[in-house]
Amino acid sequence: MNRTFGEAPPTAPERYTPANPAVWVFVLSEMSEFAFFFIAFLLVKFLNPELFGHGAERLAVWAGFINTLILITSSWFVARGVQGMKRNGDRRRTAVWLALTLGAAFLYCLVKYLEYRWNVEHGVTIRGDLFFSLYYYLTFNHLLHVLIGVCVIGWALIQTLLGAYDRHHVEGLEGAATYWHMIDLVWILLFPMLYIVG
Amino acid sequence: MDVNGRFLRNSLNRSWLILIGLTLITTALAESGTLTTLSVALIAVIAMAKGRLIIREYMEMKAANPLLYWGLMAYVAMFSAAMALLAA
Repeated sequence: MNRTFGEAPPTAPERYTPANPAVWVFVLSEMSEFAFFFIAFLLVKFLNPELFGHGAERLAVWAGFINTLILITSSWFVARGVQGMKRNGDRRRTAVWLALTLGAAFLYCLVKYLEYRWNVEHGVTIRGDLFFSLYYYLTFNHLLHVLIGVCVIGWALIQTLLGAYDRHHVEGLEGAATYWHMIDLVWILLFPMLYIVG
Repeated sequence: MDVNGRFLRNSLNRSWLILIGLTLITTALAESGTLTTLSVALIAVIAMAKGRLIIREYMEMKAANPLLYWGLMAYVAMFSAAMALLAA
């Protein structure tokens, strides 16, 4: 389409990155840590293919599956909370979504506890072999990040209740949400890598 | 019906339903017996699709800094592909 001389060019879509740069430095450093774990896992697998052949078959797929559903749903809760605050500054509703996220995190921890107990009953221990050692290392590390996420979301919930956020001031809330979504994103890779493909 | 319609109009709700569906497919593939090269490739593609939805919809990165957006996408794609290649 031709534009008349002097006519303003069509405006480029507005760029918007949620949260602030400090949060992104933190999130990216956490993702780098997990990247090293993934590389270590894949490297050990490459060097010991026979050891990893049947590892996943001995894990509790049901636990990985349930926790995937829980994390996906918890991420949805957080996203809805942020959306509610941005659209109409509804603090009460945002607080409910964040409280639901904390409830989902509690369920995740409960399923993880049941999974580890099931593992012990079925002889899947940290000293089993290299695959199981890595499985415990990766999943326990992820659990620790969920606990950090609980503190972050808990803080965002308190701030919401205290009225620290409104339609135009959501940076802190977006930061907490970004951290929680990172935990979900890492699990999206961990689940098939450990429980399905092995 | 209207409630369903309203629910599905929100892209976050649609994404959540798709993510649940994709997780069910992955688990069904795992429970269907021995994994073939094709099923492992499908699991990797599903992981990429789930990652893309989380990055674009939940993290709201559609209009974000392109370096950050593509960096996150590459992260998910790289590890999903590596997982599939090592299983082949």
